[in-house]
Amino acid sequence: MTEPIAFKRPERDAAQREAKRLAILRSAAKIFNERGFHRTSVADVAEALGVSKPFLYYYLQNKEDILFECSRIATEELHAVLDEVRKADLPGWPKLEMLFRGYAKVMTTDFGICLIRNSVPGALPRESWDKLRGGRRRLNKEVERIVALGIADGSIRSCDPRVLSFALFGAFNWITFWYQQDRPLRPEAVADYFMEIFARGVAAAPAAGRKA
Amino acid sequence: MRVFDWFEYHARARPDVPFLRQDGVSLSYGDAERRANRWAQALAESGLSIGDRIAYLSTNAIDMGVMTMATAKAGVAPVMLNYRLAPREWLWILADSACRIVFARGAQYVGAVESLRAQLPFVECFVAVDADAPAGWITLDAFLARGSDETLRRPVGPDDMIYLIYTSGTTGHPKGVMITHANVIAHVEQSMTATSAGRSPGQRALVATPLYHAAGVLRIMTAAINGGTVVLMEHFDAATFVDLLIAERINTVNMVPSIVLTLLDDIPDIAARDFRHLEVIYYGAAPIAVSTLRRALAVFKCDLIQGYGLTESTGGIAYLNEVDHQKALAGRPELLRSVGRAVVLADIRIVDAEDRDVPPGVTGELLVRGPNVMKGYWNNPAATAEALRGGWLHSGDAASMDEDGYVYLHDRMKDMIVSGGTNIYPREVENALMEHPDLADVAVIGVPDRKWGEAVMAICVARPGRAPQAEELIAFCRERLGGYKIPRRYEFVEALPRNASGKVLKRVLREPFWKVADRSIA
Repeated sequence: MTEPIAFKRPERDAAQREAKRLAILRSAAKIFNERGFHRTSVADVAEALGVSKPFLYYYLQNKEDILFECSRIATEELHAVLDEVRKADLPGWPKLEMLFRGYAKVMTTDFGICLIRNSVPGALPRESWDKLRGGRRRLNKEVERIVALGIADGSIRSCDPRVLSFALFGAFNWITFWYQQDRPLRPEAVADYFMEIFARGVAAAPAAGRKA
Repeated sequence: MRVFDWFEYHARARPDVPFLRQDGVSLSYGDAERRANRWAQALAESGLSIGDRIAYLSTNAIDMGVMTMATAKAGVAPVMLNYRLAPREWLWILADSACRIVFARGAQYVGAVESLRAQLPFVECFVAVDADAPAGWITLDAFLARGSDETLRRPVGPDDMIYLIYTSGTTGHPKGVMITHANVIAHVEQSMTATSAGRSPGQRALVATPLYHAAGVLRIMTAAINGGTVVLMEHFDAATFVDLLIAERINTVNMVPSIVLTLLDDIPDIAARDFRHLEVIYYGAAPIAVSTLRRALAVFKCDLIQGYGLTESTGGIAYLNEVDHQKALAGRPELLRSVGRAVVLADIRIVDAEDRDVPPGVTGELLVRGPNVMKGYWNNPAATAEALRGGWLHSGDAASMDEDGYVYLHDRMKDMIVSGGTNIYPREVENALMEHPDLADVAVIGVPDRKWGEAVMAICVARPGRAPQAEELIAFCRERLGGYKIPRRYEFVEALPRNASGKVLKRVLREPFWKVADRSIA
């Protein structure tokens, strides 16, 4: 066995084990994101981490389990963002801005990128896929709800909340395909730029009769 | 301890006693229990868990009462929508509460919700009650077919919500007040201890107050706990109201003083009618005049009891009881300006701006503490912390208390308008008007009105070069606000008077209109 020294000491408590598990997941997410889930084997993950396959299996059941856990962490982070937004005493539009600023942050992490790029239909067993989908549906509903709130309080013009929700998620999920973590563009700046586009559009000549 | 424990007890003990009655039709405790079970089962079958919300849009009807027991059993909180609001206000409340199912009764309200449906993709099911189901809806019968008559056994606890009531606040948007089973049980104990009315099963209450209002739904809750009967009225009309008091052998009823006066003035033979079953008339929202009290006692020959409370305190926190009213007539008329003394298990304090107690007779903010105080505001921890700071509910009402514990209200809420017995918060109206492109600034105030007590008036500053007309602004408001909140009077000024920190000086705006009339509620 070629375990690095850092992993050699016996675990003293659950927190330590959890920290190790998280480190494995983070590295695994990076490799999935670089090579693609289907083209990565557990052996690849082990090799990249410099650990043995049995060592990995001590922490996680199989490749699908690794992917599910990576996606679950991203989903939990998104729900933490939602909780904050739900508690904020703000009109609909600023709530939406707050939500997507948080969303962009998660979408530029290894786990967020992994959730969108690798947790695709067929990659996970039925039960895990259903769980993830349930989480995403709740997120969708929450955005639809905030849009309706904005329409009601006058901060968002009358529109179809479901279609707007699709458009927003479309724009923000795609960040995971172009965002480069080593570039200076911060995720909040991306979110603000996007939300500005949603708020005002980009066409230079205002349509006739539009309110100033 | 859940409210439905009592209800289920009565359904077993006295199944034939009517729980709800309307237009001569009765629903017994036994039948109501079966229907509520089926309804609760259908909610569970639809995937709703303890703590989930549904909405109900309806005028007073028997099924709305049954629904409150069904949702209680399922641990689901109903949001009973005020039917006088504008569709946009309903949309806001539905979105804020994230209701999973919307029930609407009658073609008019089904149609109103249907027109909002495109903006409600997060609502999973729309149920039409006593109306045809449009495409995308199901009927109540179809919904109930999801359930069975078996009693739903869920671990609903005393601190779970029994309903979520939205109240208009000073901050512009309504806030959802979370009321629990324990709150309602405490309120029933407090109000029954305060009243001179009996508590035996089969006691009959007449309810014309809309059930979406705490004063309405609490009558259903009280009946369910006491095994009493509630006779519902869909809409108030004086003649029918008096007929029902007699024909239904009503024991208790609640009204506002202006309705007492309407009955005394508008029913020609009122003095000749026989109200022998009437034990107590509860009134609230305003004090009663000595002359009205004397006439009411002579005609109704029952006790009058005034209650004062907030939605946030579930129900009444102070009552002026029958003994107090007798004292008032025996030479202490000033007692009629009091809202009475604190209920059992609750404490009332009057404090200054730093939450320090003020001496008797000095005006401050009224605080209350007790088992009847709400769990908090829905999804609004900041507002909850503010309202419940220090463990006391801050009423926002200016009041004083005398040496004997009698509480006197002074200005209900600084800028609140009371029109026709209904509270209107200027901020909400101002927010709606500020959306109008021609307005640069606006302040909404209450001005004296012979019919309504106060009328809503908007003082507006137009944008340069614009001159919006009153009719146009009224139409604009109609899309955004319930009819009773819409200002009918408009005045245009160059600028609003403001203090150094930029706050509009409403007192200055109100003054010219109130010079002749005395606004103080005393």
